[in-house]
Amino acid sequence: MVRKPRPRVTALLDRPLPAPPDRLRRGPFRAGAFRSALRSERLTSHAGLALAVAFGVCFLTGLLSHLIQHPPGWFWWPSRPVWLYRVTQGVHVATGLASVPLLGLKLWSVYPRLFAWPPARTVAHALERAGVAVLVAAGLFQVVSGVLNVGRWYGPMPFFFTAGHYWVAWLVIGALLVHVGAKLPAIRRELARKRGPEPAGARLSRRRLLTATGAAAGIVTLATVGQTLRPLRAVSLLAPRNPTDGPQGLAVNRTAAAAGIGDLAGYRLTVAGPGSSRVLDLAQLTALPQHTVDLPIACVEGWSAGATWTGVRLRDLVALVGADPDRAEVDVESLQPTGRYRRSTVEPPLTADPLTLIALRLNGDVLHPDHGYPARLIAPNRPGVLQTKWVGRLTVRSPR
Amino acid sequence: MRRALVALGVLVMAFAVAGALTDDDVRRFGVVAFLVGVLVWHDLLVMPLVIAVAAVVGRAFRRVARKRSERPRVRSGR
Repeated sequence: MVRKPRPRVTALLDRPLPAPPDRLRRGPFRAGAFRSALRSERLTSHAGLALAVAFGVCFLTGLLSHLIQHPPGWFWWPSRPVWLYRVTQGVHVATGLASVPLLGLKLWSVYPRLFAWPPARTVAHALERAGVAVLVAAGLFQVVSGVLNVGRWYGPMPFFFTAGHYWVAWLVIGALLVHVGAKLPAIRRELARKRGPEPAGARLSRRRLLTATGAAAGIVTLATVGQTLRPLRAVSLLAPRNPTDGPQGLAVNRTAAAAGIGDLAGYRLTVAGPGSSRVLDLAQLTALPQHTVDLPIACVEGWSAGATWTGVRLRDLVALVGADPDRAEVDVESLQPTGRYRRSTVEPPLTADPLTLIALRLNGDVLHPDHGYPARLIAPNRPGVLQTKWVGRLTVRSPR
Repeated sequence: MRRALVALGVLVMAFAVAGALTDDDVRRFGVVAFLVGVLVWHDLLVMPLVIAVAAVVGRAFRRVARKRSERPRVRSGR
């Protein structure tokens, strides 16, 4: 019988690599260095499946948040329901936090493989291990940086969180797809297999370990989700933020002092349209028809709270300079001199929405300086970072 | 199926790297340093520490359980 020659690439991938000398096999590299009988491929597969679901949900909700903040031409985001972003971002942060124990269990279950001997048997094995290293590093990067961001502790992160977290999210998903592809036969086999006998002599069964990890994920969720889900606020002992803790009963991320807002005497709002412009002082703004709406502030860090806002409809200001409020796009510019979020764009669906205000009052009182006095944007279904405070200029544009 | 998953994964990873390299907001050295840092921190510090603490706690629990089982049981005379 004549054997069909193997393709060159396959032959290269399967080429054995030289094993390191045995005298280097010490410490955790020794056979039997890890003795826990609880580790098994089945446990790893179940933990991996739960983690893949959590990472998948986290990725999709995070991608949505990114698209809302940096909308490409094809993207469209509605203004209703007003609570939609509050829910998607709350789910993003909740699944991210619930991933912490799941990732811990998954990495613990495969930890001995880090010290496999020989470290790489073939080129393909070396590549697979490199892929796993990327997956683990990127997974840890996402969870650790996400937790640091929720806690607003940026010191340990030598990069701009939003950009780093976004691109590494793609890296995690890519590495996860490669990993699932590489391990698919084992995953299928272990998930289809009926539960085998528990390890002899172990005081803790694998099922109990999985249940305990699931319970830990549930407790983490319950203990933090109250920062956006009001009924659970009483049990949310680990919630990084209390959304009502701030001036006028509402939390603040960036204060007026931190934003460099100085003396606002002589405040004017400029509304620049395609055809004409208007400059309004605070008295003139207050004299325009005032409207009151109930809208949540939903922060990208996961906390959210409802509030009552009073002010001038953005569509009325657009009409004031002769533009069509049902089709206009508005650039909102803050008086803060610097900062990534000193300017935001209100897309036509939000400009047209009667709930979108240039707010002057919060919960019945004049805006506190930290909430954007004298005027701020408040619009439905929009991330908090885009609800521009200390508004000084509106530039109305016709849609592209 | 497996090849499709691996190929798609490699494409997505390439998209991530290309995106990070062309995004002016990404401090590339900082991101790479943090990637390596969390990997080393987890694999060489956190996990060995967790395993060591679990071993010590487990041993202590077993010792207490053994002592309890060896203790003679006193029954009420009534």
